[in-house]
Amino acid sequence: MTNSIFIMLDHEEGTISAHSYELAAAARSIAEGEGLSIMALGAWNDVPPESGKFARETGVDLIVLVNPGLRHYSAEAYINACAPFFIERRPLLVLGAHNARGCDFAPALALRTGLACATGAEEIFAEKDAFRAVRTIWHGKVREELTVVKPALVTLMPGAYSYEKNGNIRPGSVTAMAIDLPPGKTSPMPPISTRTGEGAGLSEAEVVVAAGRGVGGTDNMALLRGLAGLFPRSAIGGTRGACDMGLVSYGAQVGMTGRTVSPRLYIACGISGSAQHIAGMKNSRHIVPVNHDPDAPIFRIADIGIVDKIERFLPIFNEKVSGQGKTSDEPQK
Amino acid sequence: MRITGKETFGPSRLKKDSMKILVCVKQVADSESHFEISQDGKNIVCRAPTSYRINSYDEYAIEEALLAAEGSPGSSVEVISIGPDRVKEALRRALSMGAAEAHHLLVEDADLLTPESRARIIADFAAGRSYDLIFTGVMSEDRGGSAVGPMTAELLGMPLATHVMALSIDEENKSIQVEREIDGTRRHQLRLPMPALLTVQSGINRPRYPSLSNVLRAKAQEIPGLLPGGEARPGDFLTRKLTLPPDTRRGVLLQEDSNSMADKLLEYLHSISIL
Ligand SMILES: Cc1cc2nc3c(=O)[nH]c(=O)nc-3n(C[C@H](O)[C@H](O)[C@H](O)COP(=O)(O)OP(=O)(O)OC[C@H]3O[C@@H](n4cnc5c(N)ncnc54)[C@H](O)[C@@H]3O)c2cc1C
Ligand SMILES: Nc1ncnc2c1ncn2[C@@H]1O[C@H](COP(=O)(O)O)[C@@H](O)[C@H]1O
Repeated sequence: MTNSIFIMLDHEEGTISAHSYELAAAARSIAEGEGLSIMALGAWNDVPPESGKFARETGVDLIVLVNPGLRHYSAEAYINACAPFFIERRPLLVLGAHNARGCDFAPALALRTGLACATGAEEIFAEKDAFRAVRTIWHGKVREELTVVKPALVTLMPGAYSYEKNGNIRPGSVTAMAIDLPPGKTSPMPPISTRTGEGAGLSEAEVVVAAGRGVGGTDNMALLRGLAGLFPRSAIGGTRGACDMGLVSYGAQVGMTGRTVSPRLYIACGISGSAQHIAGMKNSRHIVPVNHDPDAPIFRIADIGIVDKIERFLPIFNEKVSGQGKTSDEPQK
Repeated sequence: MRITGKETFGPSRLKKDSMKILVCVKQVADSESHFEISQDGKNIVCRAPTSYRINSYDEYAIEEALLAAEGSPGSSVEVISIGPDRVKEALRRALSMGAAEAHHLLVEDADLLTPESRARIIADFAAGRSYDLIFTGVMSEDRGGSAVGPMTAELLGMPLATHVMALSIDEENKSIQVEREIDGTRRHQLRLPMPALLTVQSGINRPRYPSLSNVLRAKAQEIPGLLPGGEARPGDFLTRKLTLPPDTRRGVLLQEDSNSMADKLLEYLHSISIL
């Protein structure tokens, strides 16, 4: 076991994600005072275009494993590429993104390389023989503290750490390393786009009205549209649960596997507050949940929480506001 | 527009040979039920036995397995669950949805098992039973880490795809094509040879309700408790303690009549110059 932390460069088809920068920030917070070195590992068919920028801005040396078989993502090829590297380098800690890629390769990679594995952490600290990881479980209701024995692989929730640009940092280097890859069983193909455009207005909206499973049905969506209509620059989003129920489209999903939003006002209607949802909206300036369960975890991050049923509260509130004649937009039907 | 596997690939789940399919099922405490954290701080405890139900992601996995099996006559779906005696209820639910056989691996304190230990028990059970496909949910809702499926695949040497949102089986080539979710607007596409392990994301299908005949069959079916095999490295991942999450903002919680709450919210929105 060496004294190095490796972060798994998170990139989708060569586009380095914001999550990669967050991993660098997390690695820094752990390395501080522990005398640990930080490196990043990528794996693709080429050096991702923004690698230089990443290394320069984070100050992390980046190694990219290169093989034509890594063009499109598959767990199999990715793990085959990275496992020998880690078996040789024996890192103390590997940090990965808890998203569609990290969740896919991390547990099996940990098993193959003899690393303890913890997933979905929101905080991580180094202790003497182990790492302490903290995560939110069970629809946001419980916080779990874990002991993860060294050496370990830990995936971090999106948004768990924030990256801040530091002008004084020594720029990192980028090294491409051509590797052999055993023939794989999986054939990855180019990714496909589904529903582009839907929910695109979410990132610009000043006010986001978000639907959860507690909205109950499409009928009540009219109340949310009415509410959104009271604000000039608003958009409708939702939880995955709401998407699965067909209340909003998957393109408008907010959270870990959806969009990240930070509007001035986020009104969460019938949303419990799972870690996967919070990850996408916690940086909203003002958060107002409406939920009939006073114990719903979403209230923990609320500025003002309304304990009520959607179908009771929204008609009264919408009526009050539109009755004031303060708004130009009519609520949509 | 792609919504589910069916829309993407059309109704042709036509296959020639029969398949043997295993679905991993976890029983979880319902998050809406009353719960306590155990004295030692390591467990979520629900007093009412009705507080437990099948992990919702596993219902999608069962449905996907049943659809796959229905597409190739002679196929069968088996389910497996690790846990105390009460998990038989989750297995019975799976049987009443249409699974043919249930395997219960008896572990009293299953919630304290690491994902790796659970994966080793499942892999040990599945090894040599020649499943063509193994399904798991994408995550267990209680203390899930989305790790048991991928680890089981690794232990069995099976190709893997997680977060699967669409699936089509080509029985003749013994391969499957999947779409896995990257985010709300993009998906990875992969072709995997069988046997393979897939973890199923919610929204891929609409899990069916149990039929009366299956409910009756499930009631009568024996589910023996088996002793698990598969040793794990002990204790490389341990729950230290469970607590209630802290409030990160000191906001106000309004619990009064709707009309006055609406007034107060309006006042608040004025105060922050949003309305
Ligand atoms: C890999 C993975 C990725 C995921 N990515 C995301 C993501 O990007 N975004 C996301 O949102 N989720 C995501 N999830 C799902 C997440 O774990 C939760 O399941 C989901 O966020 C729950 O949605 P919800 O709050 O609408 O539903 P629930 O958790 O079911 O909560 C419903 C709430 O509505 C309340 N309610 C019920 N009736 C009423 C009423 N009449 N009036 C008012 N309130 C009512 C209830 O009290 C409850 O609190 C992901 C899960 C996995 C496994
Ligand atoms: N105790 C268990 N018994 C059977 N299957 C399980 C068990 N725990 C987890 N699984 C399966 O693994 C999936 C992911 O679980 P987890 O890694 O705990 O998030 C679940 O959706 C189940 O399909």
